[in-house]
Amino acid sequence: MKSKWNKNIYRSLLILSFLGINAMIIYGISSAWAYLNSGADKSSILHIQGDIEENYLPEVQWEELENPGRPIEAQTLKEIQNDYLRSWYVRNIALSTNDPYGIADYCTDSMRIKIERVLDLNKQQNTSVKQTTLAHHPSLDFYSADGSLVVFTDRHVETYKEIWQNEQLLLKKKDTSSYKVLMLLEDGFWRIRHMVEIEEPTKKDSTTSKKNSSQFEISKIKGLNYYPGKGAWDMFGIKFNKEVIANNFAQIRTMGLNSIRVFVPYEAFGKASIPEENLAKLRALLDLAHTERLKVLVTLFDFYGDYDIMDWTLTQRHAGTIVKALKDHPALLGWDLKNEPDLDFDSRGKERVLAWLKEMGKQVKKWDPSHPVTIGWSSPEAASLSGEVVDFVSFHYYQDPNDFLTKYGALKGRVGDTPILLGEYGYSSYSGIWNAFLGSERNQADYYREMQQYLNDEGIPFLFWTLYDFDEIPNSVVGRLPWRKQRQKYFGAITTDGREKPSYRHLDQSSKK
Amino acid sequence: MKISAYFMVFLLALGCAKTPAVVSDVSVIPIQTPLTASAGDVISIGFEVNGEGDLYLILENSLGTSVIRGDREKDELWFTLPTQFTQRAGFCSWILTNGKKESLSGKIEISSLERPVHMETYLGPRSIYAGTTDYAMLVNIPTDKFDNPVREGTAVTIKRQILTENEAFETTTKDLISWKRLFAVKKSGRMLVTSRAPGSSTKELTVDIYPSQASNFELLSKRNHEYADGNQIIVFETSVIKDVYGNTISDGTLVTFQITNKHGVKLRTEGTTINGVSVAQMLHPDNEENWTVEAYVTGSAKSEAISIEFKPAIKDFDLQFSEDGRTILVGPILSFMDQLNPDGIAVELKISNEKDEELAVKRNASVNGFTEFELSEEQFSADVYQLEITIAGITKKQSLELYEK
Repeated sequence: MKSKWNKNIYRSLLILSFLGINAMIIYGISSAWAYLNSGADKSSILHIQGDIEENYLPEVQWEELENPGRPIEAQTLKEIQNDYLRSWYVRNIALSTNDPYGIADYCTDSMRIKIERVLDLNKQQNTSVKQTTLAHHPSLDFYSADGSLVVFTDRHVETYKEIWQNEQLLLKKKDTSSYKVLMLLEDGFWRIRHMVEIEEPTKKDSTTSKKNSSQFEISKIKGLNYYPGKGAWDMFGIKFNKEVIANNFAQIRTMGLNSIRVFVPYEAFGKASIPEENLAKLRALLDLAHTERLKVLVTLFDFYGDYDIMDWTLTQRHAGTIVKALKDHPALLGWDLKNEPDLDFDSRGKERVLAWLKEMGKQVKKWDPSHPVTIGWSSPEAASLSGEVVDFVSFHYYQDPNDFLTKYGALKGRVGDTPILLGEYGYSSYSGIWNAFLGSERNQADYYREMQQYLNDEGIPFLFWTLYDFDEIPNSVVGRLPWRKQRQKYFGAITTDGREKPSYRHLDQSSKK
Repeated sequence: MKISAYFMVFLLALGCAKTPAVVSDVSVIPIQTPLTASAGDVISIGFEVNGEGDLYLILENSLGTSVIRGDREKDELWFTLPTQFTQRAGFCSWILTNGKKESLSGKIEISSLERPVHMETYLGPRSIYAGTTDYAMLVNIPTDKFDNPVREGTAVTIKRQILTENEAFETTTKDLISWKRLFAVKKSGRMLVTSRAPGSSTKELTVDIYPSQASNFELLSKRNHEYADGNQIIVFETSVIKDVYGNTISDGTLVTFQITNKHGVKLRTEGTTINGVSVAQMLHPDNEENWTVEAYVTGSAKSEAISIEFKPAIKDFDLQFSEDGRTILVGPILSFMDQLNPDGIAVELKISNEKDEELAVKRNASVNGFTEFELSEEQFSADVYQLEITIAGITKKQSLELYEK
């Protein structure tokens, strides 16, 4: 009996070890095979693979292509431009990390050595420089007959930089410089051979800073923050529905309101390269608003939160595409650069956020000098940070209505003559387990009665939050916590099934004069 | 309130207009802030400083940005620029700061040295055609000993030598380079190029001037005899092919010879040129023929067509039949000198019945002046047949009666 058991044990051990050895052999062969198949493939050896993602997109405008050497081909010009911008990109990264990674690809050896000497110096001194260029205006001086050498002058290169030493910010500055650049075509890369800073040519002063003849007076704004009841925070996705929006706008008009504020999400809308279909949706929304004689305050960069200097050119391309496309639209009220950026101060650093906002404001005004720019600060306390960037101050108020006038007064004192808009305020009628059934539609109505009274008396322009209850709140808005999500659903004056809440009466401006 | 604000601004403006500038609680008066320098110079920037506090000098040029610390001696603070910045031509900006705000700033224009030490040359394309339109371009980048492009207007002499002729061209630098188009001449050969600036020379560079495109040429043919024996080889040869300027075209140029026979069928052979001459060969036809031959250099030149006549090589042949008539021996096939025709000539036997319906065609090649046909019983039963035997266009007819065995 026992010997039979032993036999079986030996048998199973034999079978198991056989299987185990086989598995190991197969595993060994397959990993050797995988190793031999990894590494450089032909496309990477020959540099023919396409770029997966553009990561550095300052504005580039070629001014002059005529040159005594030979006419340049569009394709070559594009390659030169790409490699030139990448040379800036790798240099920006190298200066911030003091690691010359990638420099060799976009600079010839002699140029690379000189840059490395600067990096060595900075490493010794524990200096790091974060910089990005924002605009380039190259014009071609010479392109050689065999197509392997090019000289151009890059004028008015706008650079923003921060100089850090021992983790401490010494200086941040924005300046413009001009360079003569000589590039050589070496094994498929255009590389910088020489780069000499030259005298900044006097710029034809085209500062189109005509003061904002804002056709629409800020003080007359009466309106709301708009999302359709279904598809809040996802307005330009597949749920985009012209009919729903048209009906909503008609209702807003009958309420006697004249403005709405909408949000353009940064990533979902297409980041640095916005597809035309998304722009068309936004344009359609403005068209519909125009038919109802509503003005639209477009809030850019919703759900954006990086502000890193390396990200500046990408965000500016995003904003530039939208602003240039819509700046002549009759329904456009103005540009809200960012919704509640002060909430990112803790995670991203106040200086970093403010620097981004300041530069973004300048760029938006450059692209569209005739519409006002604002920033939707989350509280009256933060709203005076705007400085000279904004044409009118916009703040949000979700605190106790009793303190409203005091805080408004204090803000008014700080900002002086700049017009002020109450960009968001509201009250959730949610009543449920998460707030111990303490909320109610009556409370909401009381809130609005009080607030509207103040706003009316003081003549403060307002955009309330919001008209419709929402059936769904994405996690990205207030997080996953149910007590936040539930509350967020009931800020509307109209329920999801279309019933007017008591607060509707206070928000309806048509009955009032 | 407003008036006092204006007053403050006025005070500030006064403060800016006059030194000392205020860096928070430190006041600074510049002692030495150069505006220009030559690359490689020792550049020092000095300030008189009253008060305590860390001061940094931020330096910027086209390579990057750095921060340096100065040496403080009593009230004077001196900064010595590192070579990363002093050796680099172009503008070098400096900013004095205490880490809170910018106080003083300036720009030094560093010019490259007058004397170029190195010269990079880029010459291309390296091979061009003889004539008056094609050219190579020479680009010079003269640099000083710190690898800065020399200042605009530096003279660079470009010299070239073609055959026995020497030429020199004077150029000056502009946009970091000096350059020149070097046109080809009508004679093919090599162009040797070099450039020189005071203080630096380049090595010798070479451009090959290749002959231009071929012009029309003549076609000749050579053969041992004029008979279509299907055995000898005819040789086609071009005259020396030259371009319009009289240069013999490059070796290896492909010449296509095209033959059209009297039925309009085209034959083709090819040859590449050596010393301008291309040679190609073709087997003689085995029938009487009249060839029209032309030669081409595709896309650029051709010869006049020549006509070549081939006479029939076979004069006569005999037929012998075996006893049962089923083996036919053709031959001896005699050629133009009554010699046995060389092996390989095609012999065709056409067999028809009495109603002139074609039954079979058999082909054979001659060996030692003879060939043999077998008419098997399986195929040809006892009957009367008409035979037609053709060699090199000569046909003999014969009637043949076959019996059962």
